[in-house]
Amino acid sequence: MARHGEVSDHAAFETLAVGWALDALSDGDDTRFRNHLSHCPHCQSIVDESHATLAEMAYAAPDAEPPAGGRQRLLAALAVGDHSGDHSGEAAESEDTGTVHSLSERRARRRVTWQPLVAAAAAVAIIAGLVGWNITVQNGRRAAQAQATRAVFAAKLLANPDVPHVALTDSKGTAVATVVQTSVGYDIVAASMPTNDTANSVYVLWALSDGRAPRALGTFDVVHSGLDVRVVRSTTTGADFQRYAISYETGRRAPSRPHLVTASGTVGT
Amino acid sequence: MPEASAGDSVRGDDVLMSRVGDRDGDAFGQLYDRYSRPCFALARRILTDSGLAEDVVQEVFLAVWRRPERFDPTRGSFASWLLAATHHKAVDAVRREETRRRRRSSTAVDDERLLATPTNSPPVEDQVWATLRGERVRAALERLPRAQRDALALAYFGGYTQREVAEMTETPLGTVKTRMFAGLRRLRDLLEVAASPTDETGAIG
Repeated sequence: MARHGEVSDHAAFETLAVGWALDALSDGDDTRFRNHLSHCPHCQSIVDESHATLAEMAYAAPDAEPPAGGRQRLLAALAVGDHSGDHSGEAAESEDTGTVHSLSERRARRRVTWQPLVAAAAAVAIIAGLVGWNITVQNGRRAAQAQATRAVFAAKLLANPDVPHVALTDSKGTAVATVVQTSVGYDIVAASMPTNDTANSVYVLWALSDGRAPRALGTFDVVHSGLDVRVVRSTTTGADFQRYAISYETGRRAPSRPHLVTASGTVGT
Repeated sequence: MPEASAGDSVRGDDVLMSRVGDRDGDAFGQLYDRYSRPCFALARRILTDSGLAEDVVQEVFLAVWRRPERFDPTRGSFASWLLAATHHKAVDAVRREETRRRRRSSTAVDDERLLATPTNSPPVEDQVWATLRGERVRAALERLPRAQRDALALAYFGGYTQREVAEMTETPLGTVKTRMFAGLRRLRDLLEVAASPTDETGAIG
C-alpha cells in the first residue's frame, strides 16, 4: 500500500490503530488511518480491543469525585435545551468533533435548524424521560408533579395539528394511544395502556400497508400507569403506511408478526 | 458503583442504555451515578482542571442522552465506549485550551504521580472496587518497560500526539509508535482484558 506514503503495509496500520485509540495520531496519520479504518474490520477490532484496555487504564487516574451538584447541573442543562425545543446543538457537538464548551457557551452557540414542531415532539419525550428520573430521586409528591408535567406536554403535542399523528383504539373503540411521527422515529402517547413487565415483555409498534406483511417499527415499554410518553427509535418513517398497530409481546424483541394486538388506527382518521 | 468488569454489570449497562434509548430518565440517572466518577477522574487527570473536567463529563453524558444509538453493544462494553468518549473530548479540550503550558510543568512523564495510590480515596463502600481496580492497573503499568509506560502515559493521560511524544522524549516517531503498540498489548495481557466483544469487557471505537 505504497499509496499511503509512510504507511507501507498493514502492520503499520495496526500500529496506527493503537495511536488512533489513544487519540494520539498526528494529522497525516490520522487522515490515512481514518480512511483505512472505514473498510478494515481487522483494524476496527484492534481499535475496539485497545479501547477496552485503555478503559482499564483510565482507572489508574487519581480518584476524584465530581463537583457537588454536577448531577443537578446536567439535568438543568438537558432541561434548558429541551425547553428551547432546539436540538441542533447536539448535532453540532457530535462526538466526531469532540468539541467541548462551557454550558453557557453551548447555549450561546445553539441555533434553530430543526422544524419547531418536530423539535417540540422530541422535547415531549425528553422531558418525560427527565421526569422519570425525578421520580426516582425525589419523593412521591414529585411523582404527582411529574404526571402533571407529562400531561401538559402530551396535550401540547397532541393539540398541534401540524405534527403527524394517528390515534389508536382498542377493540372496543376506546382511544388508548396516539402515534406521533418524529425525525428519530415515533413518540407514543399512551393514554390508558397497562404497564408491562420490562424484564419479560414489550410493546411493539407495527406499520400496516395493504398487501404487505406487518412491519415492526420498534419496541417500547409503558412504565407509568395513566399517561405515559415513550419513544420508539426507528429508521423507518414511511409516509405510505396506512395503519399502525400496537401489540403486546412476551419477551423483549419484536416477533416476525404481532401476537396480541392491543390497539390500532388508520392514518387520516 | 463502577463495576464494569462484572458480567452482570456489563449486561446491566446494556439494558440501561436500551432504556435510555426509550428516553428513560431513571436509567440515564443510574448510568450517571455509576460512571460519572471515573469519567471525571480521567478528564481531570488529562485537563488538570476540575471545571473543564466537569464540562467534559457533562458533554459526554449529554451525548449519551441525546444520541444513545451511537453506543453499539456488539463492539464492546458501555464502560469502554463511555471512557473512550470521555478521553476523546478531554484530549480535544486540552489541545484547545491554554492549559497545555501548565501541563508541561506538571505532567511530563510523572510516573510517581501517575502510579501513586491516591491518598484521598473515598472510604465509602461503593468506591472500594474502583480503588482496587486502580491499584491493579497501576501495578500492571509498573511492570511495563519504562519507555513503553512513558509513551502510553504521555499520550493517554497527557493528551500528546505521537509526534509530540517523539519530540519530548527525543525519540524517532516510528519508535514511539512501536512502543505504544507494544506497551498496550503488554498491558492488555497483564490485565487479561478480553479482546472479544463477546467477553465481559469489550470496547467501542
